[in-house]
Amino acid sequence: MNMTATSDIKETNSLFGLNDNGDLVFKPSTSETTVVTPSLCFPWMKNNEFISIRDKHGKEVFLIKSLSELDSKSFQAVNESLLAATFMMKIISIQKIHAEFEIRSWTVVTEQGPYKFQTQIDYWPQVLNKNLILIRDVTGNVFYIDSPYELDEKSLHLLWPYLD
Amino acid sequence: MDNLAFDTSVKPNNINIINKYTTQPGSLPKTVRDYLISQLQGEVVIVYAFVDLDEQMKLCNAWLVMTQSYLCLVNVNNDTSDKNKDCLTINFLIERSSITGVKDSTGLSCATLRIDCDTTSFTLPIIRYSYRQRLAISNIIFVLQQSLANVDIEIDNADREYSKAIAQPIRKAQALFVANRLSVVWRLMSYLMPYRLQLSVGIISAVVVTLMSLIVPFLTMRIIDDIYNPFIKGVITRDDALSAGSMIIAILVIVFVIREFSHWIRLRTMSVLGEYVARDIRTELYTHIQKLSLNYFTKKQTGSLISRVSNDTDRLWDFLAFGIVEVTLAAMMIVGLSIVLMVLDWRLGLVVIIPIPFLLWSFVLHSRTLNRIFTKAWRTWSKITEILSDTIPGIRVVKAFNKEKDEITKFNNQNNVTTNQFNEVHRTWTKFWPRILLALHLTLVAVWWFAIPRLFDDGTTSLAPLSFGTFLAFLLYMGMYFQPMEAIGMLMRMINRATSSAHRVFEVMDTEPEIKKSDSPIKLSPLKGEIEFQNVSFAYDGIRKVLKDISFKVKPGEMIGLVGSSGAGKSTITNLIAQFYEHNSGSILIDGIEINKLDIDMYRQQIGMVLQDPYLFHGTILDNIRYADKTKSLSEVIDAARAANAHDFICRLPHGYETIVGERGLTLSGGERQRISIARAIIVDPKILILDEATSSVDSETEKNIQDALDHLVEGRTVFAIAHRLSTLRKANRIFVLQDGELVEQGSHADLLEKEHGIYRRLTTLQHEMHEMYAV
Repeated sequence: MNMTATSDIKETNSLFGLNDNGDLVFKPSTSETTVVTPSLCFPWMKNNEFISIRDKHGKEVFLIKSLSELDSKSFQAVNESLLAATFMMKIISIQKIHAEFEIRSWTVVTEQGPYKFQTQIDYWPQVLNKNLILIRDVTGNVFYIDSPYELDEKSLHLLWPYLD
Repeated sequence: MDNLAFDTSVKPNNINIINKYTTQPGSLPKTVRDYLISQLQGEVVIVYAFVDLDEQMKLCNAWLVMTQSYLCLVNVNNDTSDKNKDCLTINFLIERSSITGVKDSTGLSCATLRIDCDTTSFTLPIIRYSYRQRLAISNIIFVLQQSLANVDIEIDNADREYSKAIAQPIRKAQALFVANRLSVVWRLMSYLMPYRLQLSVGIISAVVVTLMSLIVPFLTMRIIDDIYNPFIKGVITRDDALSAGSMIIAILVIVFVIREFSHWIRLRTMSVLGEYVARDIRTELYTHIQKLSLNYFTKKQTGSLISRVSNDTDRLWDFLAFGIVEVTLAAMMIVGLSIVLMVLDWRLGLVVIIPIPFLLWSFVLHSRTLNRIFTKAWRTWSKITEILSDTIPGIRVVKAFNKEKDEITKFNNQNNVTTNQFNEVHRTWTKFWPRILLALHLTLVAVWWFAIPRLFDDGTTSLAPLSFGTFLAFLLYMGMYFQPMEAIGMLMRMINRATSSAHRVFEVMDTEPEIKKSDSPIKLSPLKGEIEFQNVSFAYDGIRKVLKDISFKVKPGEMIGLVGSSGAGKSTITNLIAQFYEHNSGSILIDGIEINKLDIDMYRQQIGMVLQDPYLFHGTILDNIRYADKTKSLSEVIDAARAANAHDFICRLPHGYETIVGERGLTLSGGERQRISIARAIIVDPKILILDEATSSVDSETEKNIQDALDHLVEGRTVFAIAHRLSTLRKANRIFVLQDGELVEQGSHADLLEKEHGIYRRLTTLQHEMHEMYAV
């Protein structure tokens, strides 16, 4: 089964919902309810479009072209389950960037609180456009900086070498 | 298992890393342990992990702890009434017996663990955590999954597993060896000790160069004050002046000769000494690399290791040959100059010396600024490298899609950005040096300012008189300040570069081989080839068992086929037989002797391996065939090549056995390379032979050639053959079928085919069907 949003959503009231355990469930009119997980096709460029819905075997059962095409209950359910899937810590201030043996240590303040992480010395933050910078640490965590030029003076000074 | 009482036996390195690089505790806090003791009496901690995100994705401070009977999440909140006290609450407490399943899902930067229970009394727990906690949480998931499959996992030390899991990504990215810069420099200096004599000569020569440099302005002063002025005043005659002047000229010549001779001695001694030290480090490093276990090479990239032996040792040569002496001399020169100036005239001396700390500090600041701009320039440079390493190997794709112009534009744009960035570097340093020169010139002006009234003192002022010779010497000495200050300015960068390289080198040298040689090894030669596994278990990471309680006995000369899906444990068995890794539990007996007690070098000499990817070294085919034993005669080489079905194709090559293969050598087909590798294995007449997917990546005709060669090879040896094409194992005496690390079936090809629901039978049928499909 592989469907896209535009053809099926209009025919059903709530294509998606959450079960008692908080799992996202897919409720197509033609088959049984399935517990599914959402996966973003373009996590940075379009984080509310092209969402691949996968069953427990990892097989795509549905592709949401845009969240806005979903009914409100489905929108809420998918959005909620996307919370963990799309979560990244947003850096709001940089306290220190310190290069040492093969790693670069970052001491930052995120929206979630103060955090320390490390990147490899030859890894450079990914500048997606002037307003979005992604930093992947050695553990796989991804941090982002939205509008880097609006950071405080010290943070911008420290970040400057990593900006285009 | 770890008792709830506090455990202090954890390796300090991991905890140090956690404390230095993260904001989370290095182990389960004592308060949490004590709390759990009071709540769960008699329980012991099996494994635990830190949980850093709550359900709303806010940072939190909680511990997921598994004991014998429970899984619980303990929240740690600061007590609002007492900041030094934690407020602990159990978020959930589940009996492990009620857990029916565990699921984890991953997002961009966080993962979610769901626990299914056969209870309806509470909402099923959801645990969210950042990827930093992933390894520690995956330990818990693994133990839970195994216990659901009725397999008990023993974890020796929960603290150690937790700290290892958190520190591991940092340790992998960084170096395993952690030490401060000073201790690294001292350790580096210890390599100079065998060359004490040369080092002393180098240092003494450098001191002589410095002293000779200081004499020149002094002699100038003497010419002015002791010869020129007395002559002008008529105190000495022209002949006396000329005679004294000639004497000073002669001294000057001697000074310059000594100076340049010492300079030559210093350069020669130190550069040669640096090469010797770099050679010693390279030898020690390479020797140690050869001793390291295979596991180490899976953790480190090949490029990184090569770079350590080549680039890093070269950088150390630079530091040892010149850096150390340069910096020492610079410091000596500054101190020496300052003393000389103070002795000549303390008032003017102060005018010169007072700005020095400020100038040195400006070098430090400049170095920081430059470092920041350089970082940006290197980043843009790395983008150019990325484009090159993408498009040059992929040039066929670029041309096929007609994207040459786009790639040129992309490269040019990045090239411009990089040029601008490096120009910024040049703008910065070119701006800095004139400022420093200006500061020095202003100091000079200050010297003039204070000196002139004293030079023209006619005895009517209270100023101390100053001779013209002293003044001129001052000016000359001031000119000598610049170079040592520049050297001191570069000191930080030099030490950073050298210690980083030394750190990378020492990290390898300090890595202990995982397989330790026995103190009194048993030399087993000749080997009969009997192999016995007694309840052998093995886990590459210490937790997830790849082999579980495997037992078998193989007679000398028997051929064993190893069958199973990827990850079943086939290659692990052969790796343990070759002792590339050490088994965790059970015993491996070779001819009845524990494998750990054998002389490993002698044992491996009697093992032959033919691997899926036949790696050939750069050199001739002859060199490659007799790689294991250079003493083999040419006729033995030809015999081995004949047995490997390689002789005919080798003779067809224009340079025969002397054809260069390997990197930049002749490109051989996969089958040809494989047959050379078979000849390489045959020539040492191994008693144990391991064939790991030797025919998996070649076409049918080549496979037949290789198979024929292998048929010659297996005779009279104990053979372990791994093959996905089961038809190649028909000649095996026995076939071992592995599934998830367990030996689930064994018997001859015919016996196994008779098992109605047997795995081997199912696999054979499946392959037959696939073959039919492709044949159609």
